[in-house]
Amino acid sequence: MYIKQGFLIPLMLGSFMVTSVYGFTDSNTDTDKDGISDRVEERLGLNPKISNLPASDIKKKGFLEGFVLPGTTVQERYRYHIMNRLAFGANDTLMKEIHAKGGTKAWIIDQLENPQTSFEDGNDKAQDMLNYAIFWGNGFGNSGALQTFATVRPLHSEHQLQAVMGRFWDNHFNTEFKKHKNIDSEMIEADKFYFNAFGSFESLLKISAKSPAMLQYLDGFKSTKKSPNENYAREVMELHTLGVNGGYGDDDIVTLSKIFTGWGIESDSSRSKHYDYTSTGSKTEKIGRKKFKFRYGQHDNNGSHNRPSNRIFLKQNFSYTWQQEGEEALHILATHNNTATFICKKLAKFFISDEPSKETIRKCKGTFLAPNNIDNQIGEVLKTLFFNTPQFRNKRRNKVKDTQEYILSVARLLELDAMKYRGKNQTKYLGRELFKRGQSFFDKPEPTGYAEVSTFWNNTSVAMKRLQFVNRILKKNNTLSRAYSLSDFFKKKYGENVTESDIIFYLLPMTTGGYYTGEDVGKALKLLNPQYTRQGHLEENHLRNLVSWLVSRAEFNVQ
Amino acid sequence: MYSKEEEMQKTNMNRREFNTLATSLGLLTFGAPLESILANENVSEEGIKGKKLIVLSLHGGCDTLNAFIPSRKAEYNIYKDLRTIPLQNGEKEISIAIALSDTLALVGNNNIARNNNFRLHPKLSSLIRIWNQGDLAFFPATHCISSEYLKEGKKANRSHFHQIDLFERGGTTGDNVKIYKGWLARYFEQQQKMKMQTQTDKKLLKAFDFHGEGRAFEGNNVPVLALKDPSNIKIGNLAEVLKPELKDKAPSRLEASKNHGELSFNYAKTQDALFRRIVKIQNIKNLDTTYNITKKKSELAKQLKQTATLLRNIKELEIVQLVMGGWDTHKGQMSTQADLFEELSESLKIFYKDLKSKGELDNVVIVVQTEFGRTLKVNGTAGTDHGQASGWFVVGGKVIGGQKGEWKSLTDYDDNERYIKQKTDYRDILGTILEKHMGMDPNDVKNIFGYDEDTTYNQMDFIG
Repeated sequence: MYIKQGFLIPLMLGSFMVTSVYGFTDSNTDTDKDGISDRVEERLGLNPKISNLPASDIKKKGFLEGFVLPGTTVQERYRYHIMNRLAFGANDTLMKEIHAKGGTKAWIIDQLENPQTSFEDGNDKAQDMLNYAIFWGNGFGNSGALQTFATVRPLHSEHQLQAVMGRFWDNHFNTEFKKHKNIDSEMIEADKFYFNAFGSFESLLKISAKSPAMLQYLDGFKSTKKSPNENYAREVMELHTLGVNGGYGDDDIVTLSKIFTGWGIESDSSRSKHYDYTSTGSKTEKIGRKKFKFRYGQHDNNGSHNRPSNRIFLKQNFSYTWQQEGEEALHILATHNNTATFICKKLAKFFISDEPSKETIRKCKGTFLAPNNIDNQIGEVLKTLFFNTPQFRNKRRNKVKDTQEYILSVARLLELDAMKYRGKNQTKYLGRELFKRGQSFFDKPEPTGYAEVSTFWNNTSVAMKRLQFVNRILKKNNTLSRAYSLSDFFKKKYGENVTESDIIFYLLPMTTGGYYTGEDVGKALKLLNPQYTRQGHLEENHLRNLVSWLVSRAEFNVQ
Repeated sequence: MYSKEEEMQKTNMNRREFNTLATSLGLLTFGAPLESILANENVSEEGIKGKKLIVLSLHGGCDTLNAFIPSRKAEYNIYKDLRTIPLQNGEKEISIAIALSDTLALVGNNNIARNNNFRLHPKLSSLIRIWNQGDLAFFPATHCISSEYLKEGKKANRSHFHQIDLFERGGTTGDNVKIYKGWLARYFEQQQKMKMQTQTDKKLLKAFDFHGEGRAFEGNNVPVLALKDPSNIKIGNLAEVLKPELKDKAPSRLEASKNHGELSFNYAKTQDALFRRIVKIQNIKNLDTTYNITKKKSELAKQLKQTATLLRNIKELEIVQLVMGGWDTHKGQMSTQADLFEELSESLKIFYKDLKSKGELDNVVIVVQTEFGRTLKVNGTAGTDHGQASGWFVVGGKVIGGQKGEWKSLTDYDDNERYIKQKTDYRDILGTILEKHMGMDPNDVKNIFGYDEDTTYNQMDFIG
């Protein structure tokens, strides 16, 4: 008996010492009952006797006094919402930009009303980076680098909402690079969608209809008077404008395929400092720039040489013939009532939720069809969506990010440079990751484009790939890690004496949109400093663990 | 975001899930990276026991008229005319007709009679052996139009995405009620009802989905694991980081994810399902494999090999979904299709031979389907456009081989010379497999496919 007790006492002491070194399990006292133990609060410079809670909880739970956890007020949460939905993810730079513009609403209006409309327009970091890469012959002349091209604006542009919409349109009018293997075609198309992102839908539709990438992707360039091909005619109605069951029949498909006969391509020998890749492209991928060409000889004019064509399409007659007839058909499609419904619904699904309300769509449709909104039609629809539909404000944290959004938001959080970090084969790092995780740009074989609804991004296959991405990007000694330091990242932000509190209260709201709990704070500290060593001693590995954990969580996978 | 009542319900559900999760994770040790931490399941290859269904979808709309080619003389001439645009004004002839001399006869032997209606595309030669064994049944004109709509002469939609979605939901053209869940999700739902289970065992792995997209498994608590490649499941050091989460607070993780609304909660559940079900496949050997067909790596051959390995190692696994894309042959159909047919038939042959040699084929049925057939006539770019009915086929040890679906003649299908008309309702094929192979009650089959009260489900005679 005595002997046993004699053994027990040193054993207990030993275990106490072990746990006190390796964790916080021995000190779970939580005087103010806010979910953060006293010890963690002391460590982070909080007051253990006053509750530290998200702003909403302080009110709800009736605490008389409390300390509001950083980033959790209504305004701050809304700001994170905006950074996740209307930009490619939250980071410090964007926070400062929104602040400088005078708040979220002012920032959104500025984004919508002052887009970049040409290469020369404005002073945008992303454009500088693109120009620099091309000027020095270090451009995007191979298909791997094409991925990098597509990540520059999402990561670095100050025109974030425009970049979001540029990607939206490029995906809406999807083309697959592999089908034509022409780098220039995809880049020119993507740039045009970006520059016209808030413009009229008709102009966007025409960019797509005359794009060499689209003409090759859906076989249009081979569609001739003798042998019309229905592929584009079908998809332009089903996927780009009216929507499936959008009021067109088989006859309309056949008619439209005839109208588009002769819409072909030819070589473009003009010089362009923005797409001159002949010096940078690898031999196999040097195809040469293409442009739209209407081929009179191949066009089925239905026997009407100078008169309006007597075809009937969607129960309407035409005023023109030849190429003008096709333009007219696109006009009919772009201004059709069902197109308004289809596009507004897609935008609402993209920005609000998988199932937007009828009211939301009705309001957007009203704006879409209003005659005075022609030149900035999409910009006006977006204003309606963001400012006049309560759903946009209320439906937060309820969209699963697609994989591009996920990877780009991690890169933005870490403020990675799209042009840095090369892997094998000289492909930039992120481009390769997008490919490996199953959502590279210009790579969707089906003309639907990638899904904008959450259900498609919520399955174990996607979850596995994202975990593998996190492991890859943040593990020791990979291409990226060797050149990147999280310790430096935080020292640059907060100075040499950066504290645990600085790091935790920077990362937690950023990765959760301001919705985190006291428990999360404790866990974060445990990962950041599991040994409970002295303050200010930043271990790169621990920082990586903390970030890996935060970006792997479901909270960061939604927006 | 939620009403108080909904909130309460969700919390209760969470508590239940808490308990299951805690128990399941309690069995695990946490000293090594995830892929080995969670690998306490004993793996022993026991052969394929119990009934299995493999669904292989050919996405893009396969032109099956060039797979099973009508071969009676008059028929073949019509076929050839439809598939050729003759030489005109000095321009080249366009033809996608397979020369009769190149086609392969379904000769038959003791197991099965010769079929004189159809011959096979030369690149499908590997299917001849399966045919001769009497293990292949085919249905030349299969589609999804409900009988009522069919009588009215209505056609199915010809959009890929609409049709794929419809088949994945187990619906029909003319459905009044939108069925939200996937047909395979509903299969498991019926099964649970039958066994009076209210809650599924969260570790169960009854379905494996190589596709990882689409709606066939969309529903609640479906015991499915979706992965493009089950041999690539390493997450290295990240497992160490996530370990405390899984160990101590996994249930509260789910709970906490709810702060972010329903979607975050759902995603957390997905991650959770991944961690739980991956246990089943982690220690399986020989999953990492490659096959070359037509000088290229064949994803399908690899996935079918993996399918066999998974079925041998995971007793409860019942359903595997695979997708092979690239069938949307609007132009240059001849060469594209030849490669695809070769990959398809070679992959199936490898799988078939493997199972047959091990005496496992009786337990397995593979159904090969596509969202629509293509136009009868060749288009001007040596391809075909979207059509209506198509040929489906089924392979298995207990399959009674032969042509099982109706076919009259190509002239009968002269719908402005455009489409093959539906003769077989696809639900009758899948329903028969579920009933006669998987042992499901016919009433449950009706529930899965959303038949209305007046419509009868016709059991077909192709499974012994």
